[in-house]
Amino acid sequence: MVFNFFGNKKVAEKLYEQNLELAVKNKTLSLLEKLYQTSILTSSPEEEGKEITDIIRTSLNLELVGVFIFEKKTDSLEPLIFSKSERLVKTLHKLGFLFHDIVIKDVLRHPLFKKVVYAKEEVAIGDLEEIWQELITFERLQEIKKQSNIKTALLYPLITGNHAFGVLLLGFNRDYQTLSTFEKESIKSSINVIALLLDKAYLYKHLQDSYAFEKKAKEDLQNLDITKNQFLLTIQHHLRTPLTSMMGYADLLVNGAFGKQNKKTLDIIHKFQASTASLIKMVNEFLDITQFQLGKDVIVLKPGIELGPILDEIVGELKFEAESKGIYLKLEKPEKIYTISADKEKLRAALSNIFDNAIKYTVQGGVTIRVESNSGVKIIVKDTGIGIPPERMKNLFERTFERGDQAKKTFATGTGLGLFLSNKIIQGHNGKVWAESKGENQGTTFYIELPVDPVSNKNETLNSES
Amino acid sequence: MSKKSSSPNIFLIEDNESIIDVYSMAFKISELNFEVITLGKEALERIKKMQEGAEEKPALILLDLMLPDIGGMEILKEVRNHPATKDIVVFVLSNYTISDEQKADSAKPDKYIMKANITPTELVNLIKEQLARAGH
Repeated sequence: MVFNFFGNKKVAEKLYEQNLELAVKNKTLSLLEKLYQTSILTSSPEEEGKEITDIIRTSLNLELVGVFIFEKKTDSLEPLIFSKSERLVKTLHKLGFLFHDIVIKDVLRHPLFKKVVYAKEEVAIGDLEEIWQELITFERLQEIKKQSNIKTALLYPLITGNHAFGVLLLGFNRDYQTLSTFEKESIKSSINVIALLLDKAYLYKHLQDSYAFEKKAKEDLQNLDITKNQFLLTIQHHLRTPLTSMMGYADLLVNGAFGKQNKKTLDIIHKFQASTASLIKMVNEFLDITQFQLGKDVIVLKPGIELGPILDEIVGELKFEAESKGIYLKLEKPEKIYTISADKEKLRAALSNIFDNAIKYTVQGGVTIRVESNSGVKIIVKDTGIGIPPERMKNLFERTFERGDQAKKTFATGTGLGLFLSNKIIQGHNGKVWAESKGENQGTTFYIELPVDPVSNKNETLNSES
Repeated sequence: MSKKSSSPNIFLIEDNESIIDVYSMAFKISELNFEVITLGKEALERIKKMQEGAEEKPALILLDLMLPDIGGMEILKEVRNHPATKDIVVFVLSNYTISDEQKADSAKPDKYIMKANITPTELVNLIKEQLARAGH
């Protein structure tokens, strides 16, 4: 047995020492346990700091516990939080100031803090003056020392990674010499935990801040978008009203409201009508796009619509345009009747856009339209036009106001809205549209697939499908 | 409704001068009997009178949605909410796209017409069709 080698006195001393160590370790454990408890909550650095400093001050019976946060940019230590004993609070109250208001600047020129922050060393001092130097008057510091009985101040760097992000200040009412090795060890062991907890609180704060920032940016963008769309809606109304009367007067002129017009005048009025009509069409397209962007149900599907007559109608309208360009426009009669669920006017506009597009970008040869059966119905629009280069093909239907380089050379007057809208409308019909081209001047084929009505429920409403 | 004039009366509730001008010309040429009302309040007063039986109902109301004082939807509601006027045929004529809220509204017009998408001639044809359907 070990005891046999020592005298009674020595055994007693050893026991006392071990008892003390055990007591300190117990205290340390309970301190760590309390600190750990604070980590369960996700709090702000201020809240976390308050918890920590209060726990340390009460557990170790200190007069003052404070945390400074190091700001690298300004080379300063910003006070985060101070936990004070009751008598210290009273003294400060009497003196009329708080530690919290005092920032320590120029850390590099501050011998004490330079050591703690830059060399990451712990420092023990017997005088508070060294901390605040000329920031707090000598008389006041003397008063604080006297009233609160602070005899020792310990400064520890709070380290994360390889740099100190802050300083922990502990104010004791005992001399440094009276602290046992175990007490010092105990304090030391909790420093890392404190640093970790505060670091975590800051990380959480940064996360929250960046989340809030992103959220705000997103909201700003959304608001901007709403304003833009509302602006467009108002503008469209303002544009449509004068266009309505322009179109109206031209209509009255042509229909003889002001007497019979000679052929020359009629020609001019027809041109005027065509320009007005294209302006109205453009305004309507803008509106449709705005509506799509607002996520509104622009398409209202009705079942039992025959595709054939729609195609006939469009081709009839575009025939003149093709002929005047010296190209052909052929519609191969479908072999059977296809009945689909459609928003007739919108679908007509979408298909008309695609056919018109084919005519516009075909200089010689022509455009052939044919219809095939697959799981639904497939409309194939094949032209012998300028073709589409592969890099343009990727986002042919995706963007508005974008026309290919080659397209810009063909004097075609597209707005760039057409295909984007056509795609949206066809999607609204649960269909799809795509194009294939071997490249520039190789012609283009557009494919439009649409589901057909099931024969059995031909007369049922399918509105809910969109 | 006791006595019929040569052509039934149409209300054109509209405040835009040039649109009133265009439609008036087109209606005159087609010998349609019509009356222009430019204020929502005035329209409401007239409808109230009809509800009290103090005035004859028009065969058709052409209703703009954007009036200087009262919204057109309010007028439509007044028409639809009274048994005496609820069956008056109303065509809403607007250059605003009809909002989803308006579509969902319980008061419904017989037709929504986008002014910019219809020529005066086409409008006159629609009116004549309606009058013929109603047996005028």
